Amino acid sequence: MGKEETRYFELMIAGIGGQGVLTIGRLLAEAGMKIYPNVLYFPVYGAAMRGGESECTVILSDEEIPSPAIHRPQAAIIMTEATFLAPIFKEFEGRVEPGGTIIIDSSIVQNKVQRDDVKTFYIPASGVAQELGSHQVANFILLGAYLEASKAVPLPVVEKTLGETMAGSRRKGLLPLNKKALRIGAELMANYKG
Amino acid sequence: MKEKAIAKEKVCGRPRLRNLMPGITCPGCHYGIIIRLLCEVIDEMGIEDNIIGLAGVGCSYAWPMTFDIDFGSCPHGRAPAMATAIKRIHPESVVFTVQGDGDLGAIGLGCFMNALLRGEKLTTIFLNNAGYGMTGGQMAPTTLPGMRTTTTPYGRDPKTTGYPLHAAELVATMKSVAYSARCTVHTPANYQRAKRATKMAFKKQIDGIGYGFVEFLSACPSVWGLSPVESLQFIEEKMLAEFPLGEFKNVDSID
Amino acid sequence: MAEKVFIDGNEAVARGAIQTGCKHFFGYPITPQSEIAEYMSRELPQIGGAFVQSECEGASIYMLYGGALAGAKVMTSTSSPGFSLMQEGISYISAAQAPCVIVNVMRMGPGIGTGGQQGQTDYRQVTKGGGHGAYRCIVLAPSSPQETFDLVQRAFYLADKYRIAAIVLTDFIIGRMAEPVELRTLEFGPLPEKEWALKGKGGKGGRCDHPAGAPRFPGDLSKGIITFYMHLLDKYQRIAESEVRYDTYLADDATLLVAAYGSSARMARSAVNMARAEGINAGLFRPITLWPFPEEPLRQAALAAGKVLVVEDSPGEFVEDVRFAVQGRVPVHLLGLWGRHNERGGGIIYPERILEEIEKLT
Repeated sequence: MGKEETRYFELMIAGIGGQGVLTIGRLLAEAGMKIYPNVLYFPVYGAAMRGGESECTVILSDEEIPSPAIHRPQAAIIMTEATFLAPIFKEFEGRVEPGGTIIIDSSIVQNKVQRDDVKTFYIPASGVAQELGSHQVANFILLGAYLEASKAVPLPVVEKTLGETMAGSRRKGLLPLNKKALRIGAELMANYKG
Repeated sequence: MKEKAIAKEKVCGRPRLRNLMPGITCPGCHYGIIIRLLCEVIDEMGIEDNIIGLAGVGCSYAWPMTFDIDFGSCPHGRAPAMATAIKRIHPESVVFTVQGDGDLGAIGLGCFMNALLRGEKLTTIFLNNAGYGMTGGQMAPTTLPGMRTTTTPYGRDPKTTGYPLHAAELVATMKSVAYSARCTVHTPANYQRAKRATKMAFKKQIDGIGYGFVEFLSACPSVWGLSPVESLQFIEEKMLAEFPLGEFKNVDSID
Repeated sequence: MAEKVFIDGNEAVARGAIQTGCKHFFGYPITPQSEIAEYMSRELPQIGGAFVQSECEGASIYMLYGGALAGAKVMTSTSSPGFSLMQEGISYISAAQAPCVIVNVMRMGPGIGTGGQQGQTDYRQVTKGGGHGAYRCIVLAPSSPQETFDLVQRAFYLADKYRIAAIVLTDFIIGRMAEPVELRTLEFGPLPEKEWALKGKGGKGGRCDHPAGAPRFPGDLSKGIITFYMHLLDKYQRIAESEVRYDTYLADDATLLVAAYGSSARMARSAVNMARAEGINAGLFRPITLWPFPEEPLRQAALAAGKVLVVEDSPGEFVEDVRFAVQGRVPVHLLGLWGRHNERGGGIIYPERILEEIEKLT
């Protein structure tokens, strides 16, 4: 199999603890397990449970994955401007590789990407989530948008994985809402007009 | 002179569980008496096969070799943590710690109190001789006010060194403790009382009720600078005034 | 093939221990390894084992010591500051030759450091022994959750085989990154009986072969400190002869050898790929046992390549062992924590930065 034919996706998600950064990262990785022989999920977060810097890397690959840490990712989802220590938007705007994809929760992040060598999508995820009934599903909207843009994992596979991981959870009542948010995110991306 | 026939009857000897090795403590030290007491208690209770002892650092360091039972040794102050693991791994065994006043009351107080807080079912033999013996007579948490030691050369001054630790009373305030008593072995009657208390402290563990604790006031002629006989007097007059004898807790259930 | 699950390195520690028969765990919460204790608190009661949350790592290590003396397969886990607190206990454990497994999911810096994020600044302490008394511990350094799962099992085996403390050294990155892990049970062969263990006289307990806690030759009071150390030295020699483990990647034709362990080895491996894509013949040498250190294999690989680049997320500790192994016969360069992409706790020495260094050296 030639290099062109091997599948390889990498995504970084960055935000603040409590936004569900790690939840969707882990979900994407576990869904990816059903399709890719090599999957890696690497979360980086501070000691506090809420409010600090929170980011993660997901890599899905046909080939072996050496480094868990990606300096210039193919794609990034940015969910916040900054934490008190980390200028998250500024940093990730610059780090995505040329030709890559940046998806931004534009309800929260007011900044605009100043580069023209990346594809940028401003998805008002938190606003839409509020209309859906919970600002807490903004992360799922953004993941849905990424799945639509990247085709890394088919949406039904992610939904199935979500159902499995939430089966024993005390939050399993939220499953329909989370799935709906994924779908809406995908639709927002499919109909996106820059 | 005509030889008189004497009827010989053995009235005293080495306890069955006391290994044939010389005592390594100073003349007049009460550790030897307490070792005898423990040997008798373990023998009489019939628990020699499943009892495991742990001795700390200090003058009790040689106890593991002194008893014919399974006996381990511990660093200074950490016996309750080690005993916790052993009891959890062998719940059918009877696990006890032997700890001096520096061991339990100073370096190991946190470790000891946390074993009580966790509700461990162990037994602790606490040896209170009001000073550090092995290291050469320094102040212990149990040193009496005014008492001279090598680190309180002007006498223990509560203004700068605080007041003695009353372990048996403190232990009795802990919910998970089933039995707490203070004893001495400086008279035969007290020896018998101490033996009953020790049995009780083991029984509470065996019955699964809770922690058993016995504090022994123990003479240390070398550190006290007294003769063995004067040491008995010191216990009677000084130690008992600070550390009253008695049972501070004895319950048959903890809810 | 055994079941495959998607778990991180911390869960791999816990699962690996249970897989190989560990039923007793003693620990205290500290970032970034508290998940190990949480997993154990959930699982061990289900299999009739004991989980004890201690009041501090100083107590954890003595619970571990007690558990080891009781003859059980026991483990504790902690992170750097907690590992420091354990040093006295590890020394006592080494004196008693009590077999047990200690996991250090290390974090950056002295003191509170960066508050629990990545770093490899415990190398010297872990491999040289932070406690008193010239003892040795086996140190295993995995670089993936799968390897963590496997090496934890091996650590228990080696601990029992040699009556020694075995340390598994991971870090924030290995502990937190998740990958597919095959839940395979490793078979290592028979182990000696623990006739020395404390279990009560009736259960044929060993009545403590290290009376008074003093380091003595097991079972013979007439033997003193020389015999004790000669016994240890003999044992350490046997371990050094038969338990060295390492991994190489594209090292055979390398003209520059990158040496790295644990998480840094992952970044270094990417950098080697990048260098090869540019036509630079870089290779990787990764020690798996940090003690015993793969001195001879590293020397051979280094001599063949002609130069070495050490990558470690530290001011430079592992590099000392590399230099010692190479004996000044080829140049050894170091890319330390100054290679991180930023000053914050989340700073990382990315493969791109390692590549830069490789390019500079060729």
